[in-house]
Amino acid sequence: MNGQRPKRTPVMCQLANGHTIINTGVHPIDYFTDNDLWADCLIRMRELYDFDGILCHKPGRVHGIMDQVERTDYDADIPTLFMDDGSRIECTRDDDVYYKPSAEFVRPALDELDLDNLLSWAPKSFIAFQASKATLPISDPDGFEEHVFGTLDRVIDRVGDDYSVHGEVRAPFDHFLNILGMEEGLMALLDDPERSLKIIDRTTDWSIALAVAQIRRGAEAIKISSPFAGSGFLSPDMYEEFILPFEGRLAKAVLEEGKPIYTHTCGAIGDRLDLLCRTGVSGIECLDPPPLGDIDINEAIQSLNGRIFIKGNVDPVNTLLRGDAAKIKEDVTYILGAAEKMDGFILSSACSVAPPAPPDNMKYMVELCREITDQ
Amino acid sequence: MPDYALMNQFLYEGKAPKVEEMTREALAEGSDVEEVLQEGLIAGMSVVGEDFKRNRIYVPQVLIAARAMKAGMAVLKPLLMKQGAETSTATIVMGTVKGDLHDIGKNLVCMMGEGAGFKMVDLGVDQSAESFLQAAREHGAGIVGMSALLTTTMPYMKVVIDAFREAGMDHVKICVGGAPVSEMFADEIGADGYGVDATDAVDLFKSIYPKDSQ
Ligand code: B1M
Repeated sequence: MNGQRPKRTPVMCQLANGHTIINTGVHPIDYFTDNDLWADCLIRMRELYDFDGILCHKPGRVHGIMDQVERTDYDADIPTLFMDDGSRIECTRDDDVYYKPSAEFVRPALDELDLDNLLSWAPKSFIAFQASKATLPISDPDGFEEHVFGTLDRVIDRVGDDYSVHGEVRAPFDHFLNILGMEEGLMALLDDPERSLKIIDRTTDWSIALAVAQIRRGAEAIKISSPFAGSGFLSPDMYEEFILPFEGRLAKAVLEEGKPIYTHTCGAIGDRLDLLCRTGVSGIECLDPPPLGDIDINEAIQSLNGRIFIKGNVDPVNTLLRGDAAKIKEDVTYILGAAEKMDGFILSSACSVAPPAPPDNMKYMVELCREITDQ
Repeated sequence: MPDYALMNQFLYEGKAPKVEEMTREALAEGSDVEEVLQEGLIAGMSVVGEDFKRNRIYVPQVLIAARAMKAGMAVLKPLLMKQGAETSTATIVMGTVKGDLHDIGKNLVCMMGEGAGFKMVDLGVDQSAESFLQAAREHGAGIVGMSALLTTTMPYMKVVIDAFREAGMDHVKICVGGAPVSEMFADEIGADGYGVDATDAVDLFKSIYPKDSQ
C-alpha cells in the first residue's frame, strides 16, 4: 500500500456484518456486544478466505451498553435488546444491527444543535448505538478510554504480526447525517451551508481523533467509510464543498502518522474521481462497476495510476453473490489484467460482500488471484 | 393572474415560505384551486423531475423542492378535499418490500409522485404482500409501487404480484424500481411497469394510471 508493486496482488474484502454472522454461526447479540468474540470472528473469516489482511471496521464494542438493557429477547427471529429508555436495538441474524427509537425520539433541527456538544439532545441509547458505529464525540486521540479499542487490540495482538490489520472511521459527513437524519441532513446543506460546514468541521475532529488513535495502537491503514458522497447523493460541486476539505484534513492527519488512508465511496463515482484524489487519500476502495456503479477498471487505472492505489472492484452482487465460476473467472481475470499496469492494487469486492454471498465464490476469487498473480 | 413562473422558480429553489405565501395570495386573488395546483406547484415540480433525471440537480435539491411543494399543498389541501367528491385523486400505494430497509429512493418516488398530483400512500419499508393488498383495498389505489435495493429482496416483488392476482385484484397496476431492478426483471415477474428513477416512475404512473379510476 505504499504505492509500489508487491510480489503478488494482495486480496481482502470488506464483509457485511450479516456475512460474518452467517458464516461463523455466532449469535448476533454476542456479535454486537462481545469484543473478544467479534475479534475472533474477524480472524476466522480471514482464515476462511485466506485474505491478506483484516478490516476491523469498528475499534470495539460499546462498554457498558448492557447496563442500559432492560430485557433481552435472545431467541426471537430478530434478537432484540430492549433499552431502558423505550428504544430497541435489533440484532438481525443475517444483516446488521438497527436502532428503533422510542416514540418520544425527535432529532433536533439544524439550528437547535449545540455546536459544542452535538449529541446533547440525544437519549443515552442513541449515543451508545452511535458509539457502536464509531461515532464517538471525542476530538483528542488521547482522549479515548482503553475499552474503546477492545476488538482492534485483540485482533492486532493475535494476528497483527502476520497480517495487515486496517482500522476504519466514519466520514465526517457520515457523522453529520447520522446526527440530523438522512433527509434533514441533506437539506441542511442547502438551507444553511455555513452552519452545516461548522458541524462537519467538528465531526472531522472526531474522525481524526479515532483514526490517529487506531494508528497509534497498531492499525496498518485507515479506511474512511463514506457511502453518502457518490452521485446518488451529492453533486460534484457539493462534494467539493462538503466532503473534500474534511476528508482532506482527515487524510493529512493519518498520513502524518506515517500510514495510508483510503476512502470507501460506493455507487456511481465516475464524475468525481479527480475530486476524490484531491482529498489527498492514498487509495480509493469500491469503484463499483455497472450496474451498481459506473466504473470500468481499465479507464479508472488510466486516470488514477501513479496518483492513488485502488482496492476493488469485483461486483459484490452480480459476481460474488449471484455469479457462477465462469463469471467470477471472467471478472477477476479482467480486473487483474487491468491492474498489471497499476502501481498499487488490492483485489477486493467493490462494495461490501453481501450477507448471503456463497463462501465458495469468495474462495474462488482468492484462489484465482493467487493463481494469476503468484507467477 | 398570479406569477406562476416565479412561483415555479421559488419551488425549484426550495423556498417553502415563498411558495406558501404565493399559494395563499393566488387563492386570495380568486384563482382556481386546481389551477394553482397545476400551474403553480405541479409545473414547478416537473422541472425539478426533469433536471434530476439529467443530473442537473441532485437529491438534496429534490428534497428541498418537495418540501416547498408540501408547504403549498398544505394550503391547498383543505380546499381540494372540499372538492374531493368531484375530483377524486389518483392514489398510489408505495412501499419497500419485505426484508428490505432501504427507503431513500422510495421516499423520493413518493415526493415526486405527490409533486405530480398523485395521492401517495407511503407504507414504509419491510412490507409484506398482505400489507400491500390491504392498503390497496383500503385506499382504492389504482397503482402499487414497490422498491427493492437488495438482490435478495427483489424476488419478493413477484410474491406481491402473485398475491394481487390470486386476490382477483388484477385491475391494480404494479410498478417496480430500485437500483438492482431492471426493465427485463420487471417483465419477467409480470409487473406493469418499471421506473429507472423517481422522475421516470412518475412518468410511468401518469402513463399507466387506470383511466377509469382517475
Ligand atoms: C415504481 O417504483 C419505483 C420506481 C423507481 C424507484 C423505486 C421504486 N425505488 C427506487 N427507485 C429509483 O428512484 C430512486 C431515485 O431516483 C432511485 O433509488 P435508489 O434507492 O436506487 O437511490 C437512492 C436515491 C440513493 N441510494 C441509496 O439510498 C442506497 C445507498 C447505499 C449506500 C446503501 C444504504 C444507504 C444503506 N444500506 Co445498503 N446501501 C447500498 C447502497 C450502495 C450505493 N452507494 O448505491 C446497497 C443497496 N446496500 C446493500 C446491502 C448488501 C446492504 N445494505 C444494508 C443497509 C443499508 C443501510 C441501512 C445502512 C442504508 C439504508 C438507509 C436507508 N434509510 O435507506 C443492509 C441490508 C439492510 C436491509 N435489510 O435492507 C446490507 C445487507 C448491508 C450492507 N451494507 O452490506 C447493497 C445491495 C446489494 C444487492 N443489490 O443485493 C448495496 C448496493 C451496497 C453494496 N454492498 O454493494 C432509483 O433506484
